Amino acid sequence: MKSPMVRFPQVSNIITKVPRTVWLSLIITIVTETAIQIVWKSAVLCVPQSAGFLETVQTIASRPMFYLLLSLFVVQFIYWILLLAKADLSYIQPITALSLITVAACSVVFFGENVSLVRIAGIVMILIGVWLISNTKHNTMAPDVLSPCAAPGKPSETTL
Amino acid sequence: MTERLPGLLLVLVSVITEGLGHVAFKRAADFGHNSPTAIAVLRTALKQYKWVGSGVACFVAEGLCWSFALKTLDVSLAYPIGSLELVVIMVLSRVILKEQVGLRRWVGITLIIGGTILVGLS
Repeated sequence: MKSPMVRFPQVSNIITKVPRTVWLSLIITIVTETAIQIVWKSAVLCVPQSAGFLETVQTIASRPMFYLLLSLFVVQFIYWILLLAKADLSYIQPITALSLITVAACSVVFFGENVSLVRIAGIVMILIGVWLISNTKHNTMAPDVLSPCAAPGKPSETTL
Repeated sequence: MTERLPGLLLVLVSVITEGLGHVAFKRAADFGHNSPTAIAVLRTALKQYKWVGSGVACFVAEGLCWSFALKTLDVSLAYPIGSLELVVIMVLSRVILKEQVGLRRWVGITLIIGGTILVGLS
């Protein structure tokens, strides 16, 4: 209680210990993922329920929204490759689960869904989970990748 | 329930294919780990045609499965089931990519999946 800065030391670790490329790319990935989910769902909504395989593909590809979706994919792909080059897949993938929260928030804002207690509890659980993972080492594969001659990972380097 | 079964199966298939696609991209991206600039990282990674190609193939297959699944399932249901993706990713990262998936990451994804179910079903 003496110093408010000491109470949540790990929160600042994400900014200070993880390279800027990584956390900045994570934010961009989460934002594009949210946009993709919303645009994709609205594109699929235009397809008749009875449509077959080809008809579904044709209907979606004929929508202008499809090109927005494509460009979002390109942006996400670029930042995802940059992220993968610098961090563990098992580190960054769970953190992008934050997009679940932003998608839920968008459905509240755009479709006026209720904010129930259960939903808030779920969001808090996701936040704690992401926070736990963000406090593990962001790259456990680096030594092998950096130089093949490096000593194999010591037990002391394990996450946790 | 039975009318949802094809949709649920499609979600499962797309979850596993997406996991494999991520592994392929990670393999390609690792080649760019030491590249100095973002452009150089992309250039080196994208030259791994074998990995990038199989990754793209996985994601196209996943996208088709997901599109058809969304036709019969609400996002609010498909998304929570899709969060099983995290389990697939953890297992593949551990087994294929040899990443150190510690207890914290397992507890973390358990909380995320639990939270996703609560958000989706509420």
